[in-house]
Amino acid sequence: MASSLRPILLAEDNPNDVELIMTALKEARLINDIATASDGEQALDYLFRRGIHAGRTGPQPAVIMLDLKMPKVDGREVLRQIRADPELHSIPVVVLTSSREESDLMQTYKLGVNAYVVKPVDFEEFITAVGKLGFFWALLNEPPPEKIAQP
Amino acid sequence: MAFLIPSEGLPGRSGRRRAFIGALALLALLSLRAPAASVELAAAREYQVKAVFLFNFAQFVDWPPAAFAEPNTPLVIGVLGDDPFRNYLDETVRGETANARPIVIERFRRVEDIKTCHVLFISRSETGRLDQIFANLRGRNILTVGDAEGFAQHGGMIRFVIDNNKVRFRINLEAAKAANLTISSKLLRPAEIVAPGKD
Amino acid sequence: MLRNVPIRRKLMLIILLTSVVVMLLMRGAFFTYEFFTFREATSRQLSTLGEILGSNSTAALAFDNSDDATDILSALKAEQHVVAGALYDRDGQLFAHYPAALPAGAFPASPGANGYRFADSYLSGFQPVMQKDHQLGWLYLKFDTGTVMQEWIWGSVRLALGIMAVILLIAYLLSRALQRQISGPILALAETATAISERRDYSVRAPKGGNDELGRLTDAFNLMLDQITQLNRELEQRVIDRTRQLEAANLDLERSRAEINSLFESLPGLYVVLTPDYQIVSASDAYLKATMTHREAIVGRDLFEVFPDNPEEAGATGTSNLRASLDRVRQTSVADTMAIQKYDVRRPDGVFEERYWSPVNSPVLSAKCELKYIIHRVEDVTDFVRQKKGGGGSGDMQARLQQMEAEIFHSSQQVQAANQQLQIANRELEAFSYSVSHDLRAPLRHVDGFTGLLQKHAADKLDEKGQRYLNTISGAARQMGRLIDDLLAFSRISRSELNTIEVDHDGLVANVIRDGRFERLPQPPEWSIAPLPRVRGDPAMLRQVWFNLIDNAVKYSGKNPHPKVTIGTAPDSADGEMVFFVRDNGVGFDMQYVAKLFGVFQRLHGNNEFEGTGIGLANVHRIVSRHGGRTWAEGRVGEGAAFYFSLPAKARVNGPGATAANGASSPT
Repeated sequence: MASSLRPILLAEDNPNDVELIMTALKEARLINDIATASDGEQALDYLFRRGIHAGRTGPQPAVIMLDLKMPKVDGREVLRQIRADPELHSIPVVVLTSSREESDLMQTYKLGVNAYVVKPVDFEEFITAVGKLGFFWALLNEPPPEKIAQP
Repeated sequence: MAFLIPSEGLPGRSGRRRAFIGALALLALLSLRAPAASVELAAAREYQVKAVFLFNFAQFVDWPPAAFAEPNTPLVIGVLGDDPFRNYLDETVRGETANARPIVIERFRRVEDIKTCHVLFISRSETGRLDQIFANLRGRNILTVGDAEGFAQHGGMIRFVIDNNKVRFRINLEAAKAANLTISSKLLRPAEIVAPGKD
Repeated sequence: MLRNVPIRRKLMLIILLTSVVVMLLMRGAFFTYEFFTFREATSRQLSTLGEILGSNSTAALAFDNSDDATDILSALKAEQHVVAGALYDRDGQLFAHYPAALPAGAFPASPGANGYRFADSYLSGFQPVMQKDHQLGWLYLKFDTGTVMQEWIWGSVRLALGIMAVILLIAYLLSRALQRQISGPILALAETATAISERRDYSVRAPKGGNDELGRLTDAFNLMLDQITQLNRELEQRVIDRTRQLEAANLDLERSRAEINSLFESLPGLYVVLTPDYQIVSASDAYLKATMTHREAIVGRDLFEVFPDNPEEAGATGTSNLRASLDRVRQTSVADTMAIQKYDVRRPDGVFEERYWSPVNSPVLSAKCELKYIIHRVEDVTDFVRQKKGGGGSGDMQARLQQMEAEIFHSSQQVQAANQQLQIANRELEAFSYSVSHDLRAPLRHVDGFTGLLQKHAADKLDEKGQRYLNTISGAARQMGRLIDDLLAFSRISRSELNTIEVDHDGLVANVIRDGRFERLPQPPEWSIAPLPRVRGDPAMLRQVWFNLIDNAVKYSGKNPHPKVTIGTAPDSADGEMVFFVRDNGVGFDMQYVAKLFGVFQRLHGNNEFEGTGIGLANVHRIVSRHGGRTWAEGRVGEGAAFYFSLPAKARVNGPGATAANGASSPT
């Protein structure tokens, strides 16, 4: 089950949210590594193995959890670049956001997001929602085969 | 596609003569070795043939109408002198006809006895009186046949000869013409024509 | 296989074939006849030959001369087909034979019956040899008919071939000459047909040969062509007629359009027709005169390009006010009456003239309720306004009137300016509420999240009091989250566009009751639902109306031991609206607070009594208002409440809520 060991990439600028999400994923007993990016640029650097992530050797993530509102490069742009890249375009992307705005929903679905989840205020609901998401996308969902041979 | 009709003058006169010479030699050989009885027998056979020939002559000769009194008047074959035919002649003509006429055989001792006769065989016994006989018969329509030497020379019409062990005959056409007899040209084929005064 | 051969060749082939067959049959008959004749003749000739031979050989037979007989038979050499001949004597003995070289055993031992017979390709037999009436013997002849027959057959065949060649030649020449009689007219016909189909020239006629069937065919063909030509001519005539009629109709149409145009252009009022993107389509003469322009100079151009603000007047509001009004018309499809405007007009010499206008912008909608044109109608009130401004009246009354009207103009100017500011403030408020809802939710979530973590982390270290504090923090955060959500929804209702269709209210109500899961409550209410009519509206928003009202009714009747919710329609009021209501037998309310019911954050019950954010009914009011309807309520404390809302039954759904800022227009 090499694919189950592929990491989860979490792109979230708010450290509080990062901690809550990590906690939620831990609660769900996911053993995948969790890589974090505190803005869109870092997320792209991780995915394209450049900048601080130049020379990264691990496989591409099984799922990307993406906040929409981020400094430098926002979540929509990250999503657009993922979908435009031949290597990355089939990686599942889940948008985790505070926005319930219709325009945000429409836009991200048009860009090809796999799921759109509004972060619940209620902590228990939040833990359940994020845990289920991680469980589904990182474990249950069969990700597309890794194309690049690992060195 | 016409059939060719065989014409007169077939080649063979000279060939026949050669054969004739060969046959004579054979006959001489035969006669040298033959005993008397077989000569006798040969003579009998000879006259048997001659009897048939006599009868056959009647088929090839036309007599003037005056020679027969009536249409059914018999044709008379006569023998003058000693009869050498014994009964062969009678046997030959028995039941036969010539031109629808019955045939009668008559034997004459003397020429004067001949009243009606159409074919007359003059026996060798009459060799000495041939001239007298022919003189007597002159003007009459009688076919004279004989086998004596000089028969034709004296005025006989047909003379039998033995050629190659076979009976042949020579014809004296002048004599026949003189007797107002018409000889069929066919008869001339197997015969030898003799010039007048020859034999 | 003959199908594609030209008729000419077919005819010749038929004639030639017929000739060949006839000739072969005739030759066959002849051949048979000749065959038997030939045999008979051969037989007769052989018999004649036999007669001659027999006649010649009589003497040989009669006088026993077989040499002679052999000699005679050898004459058969001249007859090359007679292969054997023999003579038998009276006694039936072989007498002579031909060819002499052949042994005697090769011939029949004794003569057979008279006559010649055919056997194995030979003709052979016997005939008697007679001298006068006397039979001398028999003649035997053998004739080789095989060779002869072969030669004869070859001859026959050669002859037949020769004749056939001659006949074929003659038949060919004849058929060549004769087939022209038949194929000539047909080919002419075919050529004519080809010419017609290739050149579409129906004036061509096939030449006629004689009066036979082909002649008749040609006649019929030519007649058909005549009829086609005739038909074509008629068709062309009809097309010409039709074209003429169409042209006449077009001309009529053109004329009536021009008439309508000129009618429009001659209208005494000042009219301009605009496209939805404000291009000028048409203008009345009066308008042109008033604005000092020509039709050619403005039609097809942008309204604001043609009529810009006066550049010398710094605070000119003419274009911005007009554009705002036109935008409203475009958004709402409702006529928009503007206040009196100062909108200066440029003279042909480029100098602007001061002008005041009283404009009305009204939409022209298509059958599908799409905006096609906007009619911009103005009245030139310059003189009137100037008089007021000048203040120089003739009498006291006059002076007061002028004063009043001048004030009216100025106050309407102020109202308009306030309007604009309000709209800008509204937009800013929307942007603010959007970002606030996001940025507020995050810290709330963190408060609740870390409270939860703390509860887990320090559960055993906290006493009961500490636990309760944490619970309170958590509850407060959640309540605030809900408030934010509801506020967001409320603002969204104001901002989002209405998508009106015919709405199935029965379905909406059933859907809301099912999704509300009210049957899971400890005291599920008793439902009484009357059939509801279909009325136009935005189904998503109306669903929210029904949800809020039904949720309220269930919530407030929850304490009654026999909760009951009644849904139905009230009798139509006079101006064609449909009134719906939701009634419950719950706690009810005091009618003196009824005005507060539909306001934001207005609650008549404490939060500890009934949960809620105080936004639900405000949403209901806002949605119904946007549909052009009304909301009201009836209630009595402890006896339940009834909530009503109305929707326009037939009229289009308007959006008065969106245009609330337009002070000059009066919706009621």
